[in-house]
Amino acid sequence: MVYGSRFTVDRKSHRALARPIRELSTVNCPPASWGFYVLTDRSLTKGRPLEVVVDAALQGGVNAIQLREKDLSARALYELAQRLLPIVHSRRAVLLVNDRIDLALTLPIDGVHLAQTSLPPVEARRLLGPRRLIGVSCHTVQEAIEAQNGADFIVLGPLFFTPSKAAYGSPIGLERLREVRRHVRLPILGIGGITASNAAQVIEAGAEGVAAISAVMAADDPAGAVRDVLHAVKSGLAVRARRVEPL
Amino acid sequence: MELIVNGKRREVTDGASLTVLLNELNINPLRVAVQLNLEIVKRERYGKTVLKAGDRLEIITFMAGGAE
Amino acid sequence: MEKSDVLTFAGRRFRSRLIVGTGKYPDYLSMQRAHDASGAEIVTVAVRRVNLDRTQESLLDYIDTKRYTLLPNTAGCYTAEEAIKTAILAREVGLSDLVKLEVIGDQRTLFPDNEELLNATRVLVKEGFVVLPYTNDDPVMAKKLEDAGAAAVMPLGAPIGSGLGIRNPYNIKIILETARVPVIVDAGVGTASDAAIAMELGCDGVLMNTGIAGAKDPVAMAEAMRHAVLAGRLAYLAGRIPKKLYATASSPLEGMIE
Repeated sequence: MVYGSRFTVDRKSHRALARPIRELSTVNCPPASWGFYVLTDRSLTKGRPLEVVVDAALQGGVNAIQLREKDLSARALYELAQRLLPIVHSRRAVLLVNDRIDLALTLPIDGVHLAQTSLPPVEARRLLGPRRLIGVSCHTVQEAIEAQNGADFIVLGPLFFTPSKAAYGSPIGLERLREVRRHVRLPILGIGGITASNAAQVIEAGAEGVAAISAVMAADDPAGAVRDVLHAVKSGLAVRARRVEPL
Repeated sequence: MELIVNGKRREVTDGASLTVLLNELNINPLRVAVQLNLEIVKRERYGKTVLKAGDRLEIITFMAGGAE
Repeated sequence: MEKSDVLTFAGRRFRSRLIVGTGKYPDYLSMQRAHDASGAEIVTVAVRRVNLDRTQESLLDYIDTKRYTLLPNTAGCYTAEEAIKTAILAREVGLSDLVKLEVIGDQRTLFPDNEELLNATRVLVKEGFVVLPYTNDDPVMAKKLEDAGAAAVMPLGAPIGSGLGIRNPYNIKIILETARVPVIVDAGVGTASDAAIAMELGCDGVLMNTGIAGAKDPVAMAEAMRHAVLAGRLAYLAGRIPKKLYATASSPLEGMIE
């Protein structure tokens, strides 16, 4: 200890107050740097094995994959995750699994993505510890504020209309994104109808990145689709960097 | 016996405990921290801590102030 | 404004985003009235030897600890070791486990010694303290302090007591973009607009002492600051109009009388 050796401190009286210092599971891959977060959906891949499409997406440069497949049983998801992990990790990307905290506890999955119907992020954090990634899907400012307790990042949407997310309600729009940005500190990824032509706007509105399903899963050239979106994200970031917010 | 309290010499009853000293000084034990010869004394031990001649005491509390 | 727009750090919630101090007031009574007028819920205090001359009043007689959260500071410390010892003693008093960590590097400017500050932060976080470090407006430093476990970062607006306001809003804006903990501007606030500007930038709170205590009418200034912090926060959340070089007419151009 820095202080003098004769200066003793009675440790028993210390209450457990230390906030866990959150180190990310891959220190080189924090959510704010992803740019693009790709969610899986094996029903959209037009017959191709999911592993092939995920591998192509990774080749295109994506850093983070969310294994969704909400219809699969725990066992089937477990086996699928086991097949995807080496593919994702060999490209130094991260794999998160949707909702299944139990899967994240049994396999070296990098994190968990929670919906508003999943366990609350603070519980997930307690189960997973400080090193794993926790993302939360949000639609409102209130949900985003609450997600801050435990989450490392949020996915906000649906921003634009999309068939995949039609069940989640009408698009919330970019103005909501700007509002959420004013209220929370976590990295925000925009989702819902994201394409290479609107990704830049989403970044300019305040998100750190975008997330998508069909833009990649259904693409004939997933690697190319990823490259196009990442390029758009990069231009959005460049516009934001040049824009000096009024003070 | 003579002690040094907050940098100043002070005469205190022989064999006095910390509680006795704080009483003599009219100090509320709930508002201070006490360091005896470079070690912090836990409040529950004030009554059992017997002072000796030459002991150096720092009695600390919260005062008005910020950067100085 | 969301009902949940509260200042949170280390699991505690505060409705007021203004933190005030206890130093330099003409007397304890005006300090108490200023605290009340400010609406603050957190008050900073120094850690010092008890005054053995018992004819003097005690500060704690004028602060209701049920109403205010005490934030002991390590004012006057120039090394990590001094700051750590002070923080530990402060916690022993038993009234607070928070510490506003100040490790000063230069007597004239009272700018922080960031190297010592970072060391002290690491040690105190390990010891279970809720650490709020007073630092400068360097985003790299702010990130290091956050990674070291600080519960918030507190960049200075200008030198302590200088009243110069927010000297580098651009740096503070950058800190706001990258910080994942609350950012509370500490030091340099001279008048109400300085506090409002800090909040309009997006800061989570403002800490000030001299700006209030040193004003000609501290109680009135405390009230002004309360409004300023509220106004700045509301304006920030409301999403201001962009700045433009030319006018944009507000009235329609049709239907003009000829």
